[in-house]
Amino acid sequence: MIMKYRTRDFGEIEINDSDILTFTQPLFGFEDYRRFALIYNHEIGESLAWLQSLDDPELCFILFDPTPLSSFFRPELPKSVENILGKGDYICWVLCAIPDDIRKATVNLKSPIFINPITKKVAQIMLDQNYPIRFPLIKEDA
Amino acid sequence: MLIITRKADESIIIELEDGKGNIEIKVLEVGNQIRLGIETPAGYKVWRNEIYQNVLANRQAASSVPANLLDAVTKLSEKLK
Repeated sequence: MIMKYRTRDFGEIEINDSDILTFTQPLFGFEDYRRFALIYNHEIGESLAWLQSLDDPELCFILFDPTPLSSFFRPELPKSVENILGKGDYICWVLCAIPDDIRKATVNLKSPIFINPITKKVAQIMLDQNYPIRFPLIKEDA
Repeated sequence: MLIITRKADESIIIELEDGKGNIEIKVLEVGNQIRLGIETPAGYKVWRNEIYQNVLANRQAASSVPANLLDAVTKLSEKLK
């Protein structure tokens, strides 16, 4: 079933029930928010996405596809993740903090978001690996 | 930093200002790891520090809304290309 949701950045959006992402292990500090939708902007492509709460129009996160960082960023998930997300392959995103000065944008590599595209279950998982919580996306000299 | 030595079953009290109650931190078990019991008045959240650092980062990510977010994200994606 397709439902309409109000959002701050996109106005009213239509989301198919089967596309709703459900956090089975919530975002740290956002334990009351479980249902989200992934929204892309066609001009930007799929390197960045919006993670829009379906419970609060004002709550929205920017996600970054960490594939360009794969020379050093290789998240290793504990086996127990299967209990949270279900078996299968997972899509990894990292949360992006964008201040007014976008050159200071950072991503959280310590605790990425993992999505099971089959079950639509999502979790923020703190990795055992020693990655920074605030990794600068843009090099100073760029 | 205040440094206090405690044995198992002993606790410390942090008295909050203006009669807001007390926080009690009790040492339950000692050994290679220690187990703590923590009691706070209603409304106080207790976090493991490493989790709390992620809470702060998540709050920052959620509130990071430049005047025109789409514009900012577009610019960011161009910088990343």
